[in-house]
Amino acid sequence: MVKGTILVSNPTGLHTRPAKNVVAKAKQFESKIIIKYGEKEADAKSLLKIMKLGITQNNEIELQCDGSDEEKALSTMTEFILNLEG
Amino acid sequence: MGFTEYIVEKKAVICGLEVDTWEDAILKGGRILVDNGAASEDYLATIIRKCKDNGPYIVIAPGIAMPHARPEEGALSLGYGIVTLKMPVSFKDPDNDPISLLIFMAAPSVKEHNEEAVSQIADLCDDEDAVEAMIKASDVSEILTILENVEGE
Repeated sequence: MVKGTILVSNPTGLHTRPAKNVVAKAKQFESKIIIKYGEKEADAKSLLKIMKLGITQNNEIELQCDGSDEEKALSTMTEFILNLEG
Repeated sequence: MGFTEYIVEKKAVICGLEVDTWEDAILKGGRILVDNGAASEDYLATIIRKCKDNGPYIVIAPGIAMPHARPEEGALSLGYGIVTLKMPVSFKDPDNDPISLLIFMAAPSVKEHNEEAVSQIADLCDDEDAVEAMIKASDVSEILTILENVEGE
């Protein structure tokens, strides 16, 4: 398992539209991808689970990837979340 | 005020709304926000325009849409509304169509928008039994009872 910390910087946070894009991206990987925010965590492949975290701008999240393509998943997802717009 | 509390107190529910199209569902169902002073008419028109421009971003799970726009696009106060459709309509989202349940939301600030409203609504929508029961409900009081029995995490 590999993990990394990301500061969510797009203005609306992981709100529906950006979160939907995150889910679509996460689904491209075989690895299990978990977003941790404070005490809570969510499967990055489920929009509802991500929405339940209520992540807004300037919240710090941890991304955990576990599986055959975990390295690629972590780097791609990190880059993707850092560059979210809207 | 939390999502459930608001819905129950204002009875912000429409059960079995009859609509022909997804646009119709937003305009007719969205009256619930306008009538409670939570959003302007423009807010509803903006949601429709954004869906046409960007795709159905408001569809959040199979059968469920959460019509909302950004706080500055006409949200006047924190408000919600639950609308079930008599006949489901397509929102042009093949993964999640047809849509039978609409959860309207208006929040005047991004912070409220995400931290409170969205996570509370996601709690409800993640409860598949509750969603199914709401879609099948035959009147408003039945929906309110289901809502009061859903527990968040």
